[in-house]
Amino acid sequence: MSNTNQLLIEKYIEGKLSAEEQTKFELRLVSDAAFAKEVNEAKDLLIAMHAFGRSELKKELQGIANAAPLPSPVFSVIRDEEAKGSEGQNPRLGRSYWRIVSIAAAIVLICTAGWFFIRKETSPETLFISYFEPYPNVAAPIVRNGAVKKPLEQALLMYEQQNYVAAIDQLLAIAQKKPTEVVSFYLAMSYLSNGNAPEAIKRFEALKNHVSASYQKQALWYLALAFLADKQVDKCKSVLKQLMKEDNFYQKKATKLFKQL
Amino acid sequence: MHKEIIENIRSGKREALVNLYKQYRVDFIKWAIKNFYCSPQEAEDAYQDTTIAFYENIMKNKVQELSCSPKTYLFAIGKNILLSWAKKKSNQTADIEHIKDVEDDELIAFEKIALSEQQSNILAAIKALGEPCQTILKLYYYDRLSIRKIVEKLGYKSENVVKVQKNRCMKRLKSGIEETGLKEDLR
Repeated sequence: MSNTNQLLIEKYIEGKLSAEEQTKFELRLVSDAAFAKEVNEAKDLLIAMHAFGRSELKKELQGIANAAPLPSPVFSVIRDEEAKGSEGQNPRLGRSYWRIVSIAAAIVLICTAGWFFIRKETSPETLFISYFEPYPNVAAPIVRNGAVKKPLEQALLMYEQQNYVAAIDQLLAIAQKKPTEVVSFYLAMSYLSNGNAPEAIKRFEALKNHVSASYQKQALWYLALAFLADKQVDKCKSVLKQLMKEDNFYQKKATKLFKQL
Repeated sequence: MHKEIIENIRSGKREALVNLYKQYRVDFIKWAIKNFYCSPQEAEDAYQDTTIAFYENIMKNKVQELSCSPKTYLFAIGKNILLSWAKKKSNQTADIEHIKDVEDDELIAFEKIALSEQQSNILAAIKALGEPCQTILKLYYYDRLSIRKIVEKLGYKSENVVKVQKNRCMKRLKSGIEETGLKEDLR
């Protein structure tokens, strides 16, 4: 394939030829069999290249995902039972027919198994997922200027990037030397975000009694969520009650969650 | 801010894409699980495809300027991908929370590539190429970076060096394809 042809073909495939060039190109395509063959080969080549590039990018993204696991096990539970609704719908039947059937089915379900739905709505896993947000990094805002970072900055950068395993390691190392409240709080947060609720519970409980108590309310809220993730609903409720008593940032959320439990 | 992200991605800064991918990953997966009843693995997979579609559309210059935030755009693509996934599973009806959609269908499309036999042969030949050919061809044909950008990214001396190298790679690839083709014929 000559170079000029190649460029021309690439432009054609990407739709970047001018109208005049396009007409010329298409005329040649029908009249010149060798040229047509060349165009086809180039097309195959570009498609294969595209598939290659895409699979490489996919691998890269998978690698990132594997390095930062989701806060399990809470993620693995939700709602797949709920998805098992109606079976094998027949597409030939009209939509309205199915709408009526589904409404009827829904009514039957609600009447006969209402309790079942209510129970599912409030399953601790689902609630945890809808309420949990990792606490933002406010302790060491990340400045991206390439300067050498202090250990805590490094740790919180990993935390921000959801690389919780690395963040935990780093925070544990810092805590050995200087177990400040900030370090303990983000350590507990990292455990919870990484799906280790029992460890998080231990650490949040210690924090809520901490002397300076600057993270007290946060610790209470996330302690409640950690209990939720650990399916200890009663303990979750009693922590929420504490939050509901007085005016604070989490009061509304706590009240709402409490009602759903 | 939005403009900058898009510009950075388009100019070949991989970390701009990677940061975006990391930033919305958990949100997306939660959202997908809640609204499409998929498993975390399926949601993760859909998010990767979403990011790929997002990236490809930017690199193809389909997206000049975003009228919405990258997040909205990302979720619009994701919704499209998850809807067709749900359709395939067919016996599910998903109730999707309302998000502001991107108007243009083409902008949220993501087509799986089905390779013909010949195209699979070519793919095998690309994989057998090794470096630096794989990277150069990928950057040129998939990432659609200009020769100048490739020079910057890979630290070559000049555009000419890259051009020569790229032509060499294409030649090697073509003979590679012929070889695999011959092997196929002999079978």
